Amino acid sequence: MENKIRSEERNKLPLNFKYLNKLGSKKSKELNKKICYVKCEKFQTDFMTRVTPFKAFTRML
Amino acid sequence: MILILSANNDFTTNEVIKWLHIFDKKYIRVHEFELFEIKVIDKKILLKSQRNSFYIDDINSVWFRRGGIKFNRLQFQNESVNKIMNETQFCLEDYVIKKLESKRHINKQSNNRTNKLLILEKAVAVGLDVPSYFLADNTDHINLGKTITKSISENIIVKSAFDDFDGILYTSIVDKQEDEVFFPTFFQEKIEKEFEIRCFYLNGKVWSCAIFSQNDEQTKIDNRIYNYGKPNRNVRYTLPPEIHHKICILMTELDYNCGSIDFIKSVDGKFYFLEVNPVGQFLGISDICNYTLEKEIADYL
Amino acid sequence: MKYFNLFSSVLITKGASRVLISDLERNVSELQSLDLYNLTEDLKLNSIEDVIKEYDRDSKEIINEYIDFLLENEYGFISHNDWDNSFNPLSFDYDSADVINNLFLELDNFSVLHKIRCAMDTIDIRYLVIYSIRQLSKEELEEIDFIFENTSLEGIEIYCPYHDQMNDSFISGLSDQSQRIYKLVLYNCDNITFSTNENLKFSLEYTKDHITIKNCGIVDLKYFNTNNTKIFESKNYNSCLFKKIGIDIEGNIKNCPLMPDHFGNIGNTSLEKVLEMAGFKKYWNLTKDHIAICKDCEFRYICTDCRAFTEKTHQNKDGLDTSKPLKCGYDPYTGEWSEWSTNPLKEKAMKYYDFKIDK
Repeated sequence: MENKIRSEERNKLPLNFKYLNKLGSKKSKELNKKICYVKCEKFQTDFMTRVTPFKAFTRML
Repeated sequence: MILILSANNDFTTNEVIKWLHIFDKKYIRVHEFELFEIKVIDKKILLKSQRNSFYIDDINSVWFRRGGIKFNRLQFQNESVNKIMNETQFCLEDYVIKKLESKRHINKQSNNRTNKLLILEKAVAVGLDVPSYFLADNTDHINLGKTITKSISENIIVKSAFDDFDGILYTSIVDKQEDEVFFPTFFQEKIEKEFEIRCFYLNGKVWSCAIFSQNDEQTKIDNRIYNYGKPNRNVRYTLPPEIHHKICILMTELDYNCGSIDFIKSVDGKFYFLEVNPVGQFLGISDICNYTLEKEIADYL
Repeated sequence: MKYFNLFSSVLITKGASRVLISDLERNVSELQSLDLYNLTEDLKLNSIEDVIKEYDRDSKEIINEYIDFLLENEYGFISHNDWDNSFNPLSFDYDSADVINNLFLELDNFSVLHKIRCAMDTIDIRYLVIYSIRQLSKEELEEIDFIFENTSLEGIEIYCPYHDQMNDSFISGLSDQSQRIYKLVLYNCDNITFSTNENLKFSLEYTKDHITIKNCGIVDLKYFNTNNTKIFESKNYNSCLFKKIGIDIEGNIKNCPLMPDHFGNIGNTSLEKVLEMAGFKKYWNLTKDHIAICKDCEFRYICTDCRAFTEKTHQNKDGLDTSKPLKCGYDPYTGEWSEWSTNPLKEKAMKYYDFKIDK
């Protein structure tokens, strides 16, 4: 996989830069977009992950 | 009081904190960009940032996860005064960090950088099997197809390397001769693996997980390349007692009391040590093997 | 000699007429025959060669096909000379860092929401499920979300009646303003005045039906979940009522708002006190392994139980109702599904709960 990094640099890079991979995939990007973060004072974070529950809590439909 | 040094967005920290609430343990969480001032009140050292304020004497245990305590260092007009004050401030800061590290802790801020080369040397010294490795700036003596190359830096992500993607330096097989000389690069013998083993180490205890990636061309060389269709098999595993023992010696030598360790079990039945990461992700194996490691950490603190 | 090792993340649940193979890593389950189950049991005790030896020539082929099937699906792997004992069985213990996992509220008056918010200072509640008997304006929906701003509540799902103000700007505005709402279900929805847009922060469902809270308790394939947490929970605890708390329309605090026993009213007691009351958690440890008929069902660990509506046929020595859920139409002995509400054997229980009987 050719990348622009190696051609841009004047100094030589280690050989593993030649084997640079793309990070993630379209799929992982789509999945990441769906992650919602909420603020939580109790846990002292602005990034509590809103996780979809592991089961259906009610079954009314 | 527990002191947690982490990042605001660290998911793992949130999971450990949930357990701290269950155990009714009090904690202070420090984010990555917080800057502290060192104050003295009634002869006691107080650290104060915009979010937090605490006496170091009140801290009983410290979890170094990400970032660390950073200080707001003052500048002085007179160059010579500035030099002295720089040293004075450094002394205080160093004292505070060392004082905190002398308490019950999980990893240390002052020892958070890994050096893959030194770690490999130590692993060999404690008697672990390590695939043979060397540095080179050319491919003259490389056994093509049987040698891998990987990064010796901790950070392996190259921002905006591609038009709409970042790049990542995974472990790769070297399959081509190079005409030109390159920057010194890490090479290692490729081991035919039966499976990989990811361990989590905490103060003498080891939890292991075998990762079967061999069936899958996509993840054969580097199991971090994720296959969404058919994820790798991750299953509970126990290392032989002598490997467990050597891990404990290695971690003590490296002065890490917590970290993730990677092994390969080769087709000929040997356990090859690959690397240690003191601040690695472990929730993946914790969930899949039902180890509840986040609870172990909360319990230890 | 070759030995077959089943991966510890593969759970085979034996039912009366077939088995369910649940893959806890890939989060899927599939049905298989009892023969396959017997083979996997045999392979735990004998080498592959010895197992094959026991069968005649015709059966040998089938056995080989079964083993291929297990290997192709990566349900297990082969080791030589012996089973690989370095692979430990998975622990099915269930341990979670929450006090209440979900609170099921039948909502009329918003003051109850503020009471729940206050309770969250001392007890962690992960999810809030709201069934509203009345229509909710956009402002009210946003208020529900806003009340829980900055708390440790991870998500809210809301069931409420549809009304004609619910257009695109209503829905997308709510999506922009809300944070914790992950699911919105509109009932009584006979004409659709909004487009279902995929870029919403929550999932949006609607139905023409008039849903009441008494509709709950349905057992159906669509409500089965295969994942670690689900299976660990149902192996150890009641898969619906464990760490659940319910508040009915009158403010009565119960394990589930549809169950008769109540433990005080939100107006005069706290959730914390209720959690300590004798009998509040009496169903929390009742697993499917101790429920009539369910205990012989291959779906028992991926299914979610119901104690509010049962066939009312069995009781254990502690006086707990251990009858099969009323709204389950599956018969594990024949492996067939049928409509539960027309089953004549359920009529007595249906009358007891005041359900309409269709003939």
